[in-house]
Amino acid sequence: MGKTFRIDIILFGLVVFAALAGIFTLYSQEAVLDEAPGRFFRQSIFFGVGLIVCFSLRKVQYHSLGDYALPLYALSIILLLITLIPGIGSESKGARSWIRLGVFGFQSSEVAKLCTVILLAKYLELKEKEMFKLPSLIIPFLIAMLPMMLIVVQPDFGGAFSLAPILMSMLFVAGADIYHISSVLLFFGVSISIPLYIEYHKITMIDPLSIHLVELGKQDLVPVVRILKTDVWSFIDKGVLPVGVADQDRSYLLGILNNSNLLHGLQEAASTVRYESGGLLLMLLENITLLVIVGSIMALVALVLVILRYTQGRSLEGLRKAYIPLGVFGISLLAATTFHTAFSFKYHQVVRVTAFVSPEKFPRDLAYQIRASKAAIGSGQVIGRGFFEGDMTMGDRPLVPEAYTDFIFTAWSERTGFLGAVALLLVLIGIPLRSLQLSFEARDRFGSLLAAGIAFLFFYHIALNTGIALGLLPVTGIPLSFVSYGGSHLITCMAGVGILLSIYRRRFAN
Amino acid sequence: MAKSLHEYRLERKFQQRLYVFTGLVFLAVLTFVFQLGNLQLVKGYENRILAKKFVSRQEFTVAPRGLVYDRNFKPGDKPIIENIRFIDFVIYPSRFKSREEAVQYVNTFCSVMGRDCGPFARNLVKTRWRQLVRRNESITLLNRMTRREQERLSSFHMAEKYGEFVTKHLRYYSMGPAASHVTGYIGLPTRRQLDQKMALSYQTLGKAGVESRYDSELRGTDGIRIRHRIINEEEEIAGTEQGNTLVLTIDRAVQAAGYRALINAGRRGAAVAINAGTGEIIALVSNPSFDPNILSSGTIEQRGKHFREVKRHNGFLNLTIQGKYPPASTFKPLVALAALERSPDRDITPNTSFSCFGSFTLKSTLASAPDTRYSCWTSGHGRLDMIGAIANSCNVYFYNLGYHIGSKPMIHFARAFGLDKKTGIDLPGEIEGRVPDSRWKQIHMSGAKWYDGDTINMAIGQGYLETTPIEMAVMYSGLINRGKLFRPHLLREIRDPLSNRLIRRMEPQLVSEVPVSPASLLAVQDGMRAVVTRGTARRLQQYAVPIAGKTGTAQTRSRVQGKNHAWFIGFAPFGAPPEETIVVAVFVEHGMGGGMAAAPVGGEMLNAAFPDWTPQRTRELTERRMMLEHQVNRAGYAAGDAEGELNGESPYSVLPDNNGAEYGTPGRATPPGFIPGQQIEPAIPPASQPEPTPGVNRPRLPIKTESRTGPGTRPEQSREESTGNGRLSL
Repeated sequence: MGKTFRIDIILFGLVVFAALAGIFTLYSQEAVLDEAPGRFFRQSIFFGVGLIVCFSLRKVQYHSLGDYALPLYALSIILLLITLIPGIGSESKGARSWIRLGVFGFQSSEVAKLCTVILLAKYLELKEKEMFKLPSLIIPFLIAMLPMMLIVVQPDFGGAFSLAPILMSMLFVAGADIYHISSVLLFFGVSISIPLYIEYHKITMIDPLSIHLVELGKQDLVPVVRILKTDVWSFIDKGVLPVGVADQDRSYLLGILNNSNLLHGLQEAASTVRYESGGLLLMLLENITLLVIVGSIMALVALVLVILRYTQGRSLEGLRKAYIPLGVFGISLLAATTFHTAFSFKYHQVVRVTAFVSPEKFPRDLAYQIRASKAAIGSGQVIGRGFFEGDMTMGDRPLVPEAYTDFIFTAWSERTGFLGAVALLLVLIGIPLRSLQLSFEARDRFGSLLAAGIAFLFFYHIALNTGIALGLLPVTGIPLSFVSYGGSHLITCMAGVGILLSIYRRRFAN
Repeated sequence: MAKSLHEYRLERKFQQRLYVFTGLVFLAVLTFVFQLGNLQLVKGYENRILAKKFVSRQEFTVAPRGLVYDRNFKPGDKPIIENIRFIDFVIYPSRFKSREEAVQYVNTFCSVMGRDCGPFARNLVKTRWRQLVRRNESITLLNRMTRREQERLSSFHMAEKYGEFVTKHLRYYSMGPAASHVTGYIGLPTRRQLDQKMALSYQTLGKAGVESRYDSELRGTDGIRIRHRIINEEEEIAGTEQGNTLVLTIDRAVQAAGYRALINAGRRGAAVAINAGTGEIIALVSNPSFDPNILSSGTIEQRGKHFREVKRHNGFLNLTIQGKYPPASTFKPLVALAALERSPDRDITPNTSFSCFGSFTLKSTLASAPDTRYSCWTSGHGRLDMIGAIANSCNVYFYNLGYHIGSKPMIHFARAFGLDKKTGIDLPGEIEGRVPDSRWKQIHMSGAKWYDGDTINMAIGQGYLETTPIEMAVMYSGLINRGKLFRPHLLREIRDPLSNRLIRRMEPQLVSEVPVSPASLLAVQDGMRAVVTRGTARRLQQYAVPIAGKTGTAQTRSRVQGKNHAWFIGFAPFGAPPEETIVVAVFVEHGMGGGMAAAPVGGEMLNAAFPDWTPQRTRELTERRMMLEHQVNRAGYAAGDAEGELNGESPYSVLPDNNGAEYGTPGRATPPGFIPGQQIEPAIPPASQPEPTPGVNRPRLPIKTESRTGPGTRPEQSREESTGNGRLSL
């Protein structure tokens, strides 16, 4: 039956199309240059190597991968550790993420991602029947956390962060309790987003504050905003002077602190601006006491319910639907206040994470990448500017930074317009979708989980990358699978495809 | 393979969750497609424009400013203001691949050109370099290149790849400080000018003088280029157009002579020469001055140093239009004219004479207050008629004259001749003079009233009277030009920079015409000629051209001797028609005496204005003058005989008396609501002595006094409080 199609033509075809799209884009970017850096050529070689890896892995019985999962994982962890050693790991764009062996170098984090997925699949297969229990989630978390930690210290936030949704999705399909998974999501979501929300408003309210001060005719107070920037709020509320303020500014600010009249005017203006641009939500969230009280009450109620359940026995099983969300939300609120007070976010971190929401409110050069990328994509209009006309994404140093790696989707969209962008998007999304189908059809549980894991690996890279390029997500360095320039990620993805093909080849039990 | 129920359930759960996840994937795709549609279809056009802004960069080519010539313009002449063209070599950091490459490039460049790399090191530091790349700014490697440097650079192959030859223009003021108050200078716009969108940050604009006043004419149109940031590609949208050529009314020789003479005088001062018939300004000098070449084209250090230095000496103040001083004796011709035209009894003629014994006593109307003595500048002139009094600048004569006619005609004529108004000269920052009247005095001198002492001071141009040199020059041109006052102007023509085609010519602009009789004017002019032939400015006879004029020595508040301001206002050639006559007003601060300090400056300027003067011309003019006088006298006396006998009017008067109440007639100037009882009493209380009768107080001519003492509201003590402490005036 399967004799004629021992290779999954759909998956393989989509992959080849995506890779060729990437190579063509790289070529068109270099076409205008006199001295081409030859990225498209190298990418072609990487693709060739990837194909070899792919077909080799296709021959390998994927069960043996499961058998060697732990050694493979250990190897990848060792590689990550080696990367951190200054002599061997080489630095690029501020991150020590490469292992360089002569002319040949690779990013160990990409390999680590695949190995982690294999080990997770193996573990989840073994624990198949106990997945609904909370303790069985601990080990998968540890498996994923170790490489994440090692990648974060490089530091490569994008690479590390992409593992988290893969882990959650694998736990989800492996049959973990939906309450456990959503608790984790809720906890991290609430405890990080509340401080970020407050900090975001602190930045975006600076301009309205100075405008409001001018409107009120208090021009002499405007320098306060100019000197302090985001520190102005803690200055207004608590009279805190930041460390780095120089002599002249310092004496000026102290003068304002000592003059209760001026300080009062400043506080009044600040509260007006806060209310106008932040609204009620900001007022509530900024009130730490309120958050602590609400959080504590929720947590206590949840605790009472837990005690009730375990003392009264199984008849109150349904209570967990109430106490898990309640308790998690309460604890998240407490964690959020702790985060907010203990380690306040740095200015550039907040800008990085929140600038995509409204790039025009941020300083020009900080939100530059997002604005440039959106403009470039938009300028493609319906049919694009033509393959060699992508003004913003061509050349050795394009106006959209990283237009040949992380922002290659921008380059493609600018050249081919809405039609081309949607086509590439469908092709790219088709790869994880087809993988999911392979997972569905796989012979055994390990094959299913492995295929699903690799599908998630593809999907999150594609979704996060396109989301960033389209200005829907904060900017982090995540490559676009199969398209972005870069050998490590391409070959890793091709290895993933090889495993998928191996699963496909052995999808029938006999 | 048989599966247990439990396994089957697990299988189902797994499949269900895969479906859920697939749904998630489709949701994500839908979001992305939606956002793509939003960016590319809905906002596609805006984004394309936005992208164009990202990609291209507007660059401007500064247009050369227009040239400025003096009045003797011929194509090919040397201009007063010209441009010197030179070439800079600049590199753009954004065109380099990396900073290291640029460092290497600069090093090679320096070794080829044999230059020191030191000055560029600052720009090649990492942080600064990034800034330059981001802003796409340039680094100037070679400033004001010589031809040899250009040749050598052309052998340097990399020159054109990263760098560019940029043409720049330096403003050169060929007269330098001598004409700086006319030309002004140029500079970068101030923050305020940028806010008002008067100029863009890279442009220069005029900061003073003609450069500022006619900035829009001179600036021209800048060229615009669109440069692609990635590809080395440039598109010119608009070419540069040089600013228009201006031809000024300034005469280079007169201007230079005036500046030289003022510098020789060694004091702060101002001199202005205008054509009496048209208002064209022949020269305009103010000392101290500044060097526009340094301020416009110097390095930033040079500019700052010179600016501070000039500021310290108030050198930016154009004293001809921004200096306000008491006109002193130069005001006397106007008083004489006022007396001839507007004497209340029509009883003043050029032959009216008073005796000068060195002082004039204003009798006190208050018994206990002493009489006030006003002295002449010398021990006594004896009996003088009007012409003699002008010639010798006799104060006592004018005290008598002023006291006789009262303040009203003097104020009327001072205002009619524009001494309290801006002349409207085409230079920025002009101020107006001040002609005081009783209302003014009441407002500004804490309610003090107008006394006869003020009238007497005004008769010799002292007191609160203040004028600018340009106003005096315009007033004198009115005296020559039958009362016609023209707006003084510096601009003569605007011409096309390339073809020299005339675009606009400034026509003489009549501001007002004061009706005065020719006979009165001739008499006053005769007096001014006598100043040179036998009066206080005899030294001006050395020049060939016949000069007439009036000297003045203004006493300042300072009592120190030698602190008097010197004035000379003159015109030449005497007897020529107004269109050929040039009026010169010279003011020298603390110049001691008008005849000593100011008159030589005026003489030099008038001499420079008529370089090839022959005695033959003088004789012709004298004949013309005599004929004119003959005609005027016959006509005037004929009219005067008829009217004078009937109406009791002076033959010199052509004006009906309009009894203008506003001109400081003492009694009527009291503002409404003024209560005499609240007036500050004089220090000495009125004694029981009988009041002296007005008739006895009046010296010389038996003249009715009612017209000046006014109705009964005016208290008697007005006359004893005089501001003058024997003001000196000649």
